[in-house]
Amino acid sequence: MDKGWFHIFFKSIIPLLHSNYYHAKSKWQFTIKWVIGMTDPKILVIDDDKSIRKIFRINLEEEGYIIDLAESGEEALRKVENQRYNLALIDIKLGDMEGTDLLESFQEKAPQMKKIIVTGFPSLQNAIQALNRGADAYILKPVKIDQLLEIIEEQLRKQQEEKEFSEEKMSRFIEDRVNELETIKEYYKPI
Amino acid sequence: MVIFSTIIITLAIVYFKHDTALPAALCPRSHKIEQKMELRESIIEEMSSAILLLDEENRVTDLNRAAMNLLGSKSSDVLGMEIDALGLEWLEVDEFDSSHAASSREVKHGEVGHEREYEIELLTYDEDEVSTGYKALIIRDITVYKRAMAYWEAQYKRYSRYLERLVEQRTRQLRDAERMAAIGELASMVGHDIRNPLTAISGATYFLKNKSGLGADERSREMLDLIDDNIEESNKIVSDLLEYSRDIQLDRSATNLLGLLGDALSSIEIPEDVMVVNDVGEEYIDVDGQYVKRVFLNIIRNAFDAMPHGGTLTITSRKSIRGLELSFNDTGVGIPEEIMDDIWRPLFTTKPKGMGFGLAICKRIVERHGGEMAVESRVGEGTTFTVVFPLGLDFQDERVLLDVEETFQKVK
Repeated sequence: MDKGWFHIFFKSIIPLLHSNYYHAKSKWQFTIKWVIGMTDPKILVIDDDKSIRKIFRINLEEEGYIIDLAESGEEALRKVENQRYNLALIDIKLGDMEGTDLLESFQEKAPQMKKIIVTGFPSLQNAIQALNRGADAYILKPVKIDQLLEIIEEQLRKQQEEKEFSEEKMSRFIEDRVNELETIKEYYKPI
Repeated sequence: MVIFSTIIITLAIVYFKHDTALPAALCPRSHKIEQKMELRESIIEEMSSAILLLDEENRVTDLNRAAMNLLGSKSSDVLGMEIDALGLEWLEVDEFDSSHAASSREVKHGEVGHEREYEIELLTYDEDEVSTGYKALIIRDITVYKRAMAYWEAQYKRYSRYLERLVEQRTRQLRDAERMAAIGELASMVGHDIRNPLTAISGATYFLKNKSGLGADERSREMLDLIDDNIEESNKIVSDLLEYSRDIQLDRSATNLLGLLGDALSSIEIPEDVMVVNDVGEEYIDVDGQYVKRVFLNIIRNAFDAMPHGGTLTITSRKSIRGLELSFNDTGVGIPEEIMDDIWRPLFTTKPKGMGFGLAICKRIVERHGGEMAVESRVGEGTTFTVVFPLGLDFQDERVLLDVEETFQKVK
């Protein structure tokens, strides 16, 4: 596509309308990244405790993540339907439901999203149950921010690898099909 | 004539020699009555109780074999003699209530140490409602019976008491368990809920330390480190609390005692000036290794703490009626008598750090296994913790069984 001046100008207006633009700490960085097709990872923090939501938001935004908050399971479900997040931090005990109940719906609506359970119960049973129901990782309360950051990084890295792998798969698949078509074309040419 | 007299003589001889044969042939009906009477006679003669017939002067008119054995003499010597003169004054015939036709008393008689007990029945013979003075004395040796009764009565009392104690204990345990369950739920909620504020504080501190200007100033950083440490401490308290109030689920298996102890000892640091003597035998006990190792660790740590200037920790084991007894003896500062009862209480500690749940949890764990935990101590000399694990049967049942056996042997 021919990238005319209008196109570039247009592209610089759109960031202003993009919701994440307002969340981003550095608008300039955001715009650049957006233009070249990169975006910061978006994380949804789901916890019914106001202080915890604040603490997580401030500390994670410092690291460059885009943070969105949800107070309850219901709110979280709505948000996940409307937007795409890279990762969700889910407190195990929410006002209206158990954190683990969200896992299934999230798996349906956003299969690529990584899900980390935050729990105050250190029992092995709970951990296994959470992982079985679709959580990608869990972290114990009280949460140490440096540990949290590590886990998030790990999960996002995995996500990136999976994406690249599936993109590779996809492109190879397309290549194979194209080759097939070429061979068939060759075959029919003489006719 | 000769033939006739021969017949008469023969009949006479037959009659006198076989005094049943002829009469039996001649008179069937009276023979049956006689047979009955003779049967009765022989019963009376042979029965194990002694029977003495007395006249109004308490003179012996008849007696049976058992009575003769009692007197130790022949009937010929005895007949016509007064019972007092025969050494039977202990029968105390006059003590009987003669207004009744039959009455009985119990009397003890015999050499000291070899006394026998007798039941004496006195039957009076009346003719036309007038007392004749004739009596029958039936003497039964009831020593064995009496002893058996006494034995079983004692056993019954003992078992009753044991059951009462058991019921008391079970009731207490049930009440405790109920209370624990209630506390556990509450503690669990509280503990878990506190972790939220702790998270917030921890997160805020992290930000201040790493992402704000405060982190640059050394003193501020120290303060923030202090906050972090105390968050750790608070969290540990919460963990201990949750741990203590959690229900203990035992995963029992045959465990090598020596191995378990070795594991415990190798997992902690033994202070340089402390010597550990492990004198435990090769025993297997049916316990949950993880939990019991914690108990050992707790006791051993306490021992080390009690010997800040060095000493010796001696661990021994022995089998007893109660089960397998493990003793941990240290040469440390000892426990003062005033707080001896308090040490088992949760939240009690003499140390500046630590919540003081250790011994309370240990006791719970041991008692959950059906065992016991006790302590003996002398200030300045040292302390001995004893842990008993039951082997096989619940030790209390075993103890009762052994008691019964012992007492039974004595009665014989």
